[in-house]
Amino acid sequence: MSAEDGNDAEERLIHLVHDLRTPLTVISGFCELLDRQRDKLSEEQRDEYLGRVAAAAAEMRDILDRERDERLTGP
Amino acid sequence: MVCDDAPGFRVLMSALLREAGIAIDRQGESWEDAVRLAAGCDVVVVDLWMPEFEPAALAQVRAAVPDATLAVVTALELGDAALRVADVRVDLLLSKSTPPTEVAARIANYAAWASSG
Repeated sequence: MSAEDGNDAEERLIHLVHDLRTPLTVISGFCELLDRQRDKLSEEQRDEYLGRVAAAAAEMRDILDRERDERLTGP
Repeated sequence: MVCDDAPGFRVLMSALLREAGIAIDRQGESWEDAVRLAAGCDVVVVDLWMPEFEPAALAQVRAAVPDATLAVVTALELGDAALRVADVRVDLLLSKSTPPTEVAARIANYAAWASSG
């Protein structure tokens, strides 16, 4: 791998970490809320929070799939 | 006010801040929203990248609420983020790697301290 390729790979990794961080934070945060407030949340709030967890997990999956596809086919 | 272009994070942070005693009455998803909605807020929480960082917009937000607690929450490395916001008086610069409950607690604690002084 050339130095340029190495720099590109490092930059892509930095971007990947950045892109994954927010949805991961969303998942952990809502799980904490659901646990801590389980007796206080309405069914509607509970459904919304669970939906947010699912959406964030799907976002992480899409990011990883995109990264895998780009590595297989090239940018 | 909470502004973040990630709706999940925006809703999460609003819920956690409410739990910590901060009333969140407006939310936005862009720097345009942040500038438009900031006036009158005691606590302003903004993401840095919405979808890009706009230094002039951050300065406008601070100018609109000179006495408010202004917290920037970012997925960027904090050293990099600090350089980007260096020209604006930001009260808190927090990482999205930090557990969100702790992020909310730090903002609430700072706001309480700032309002007591």
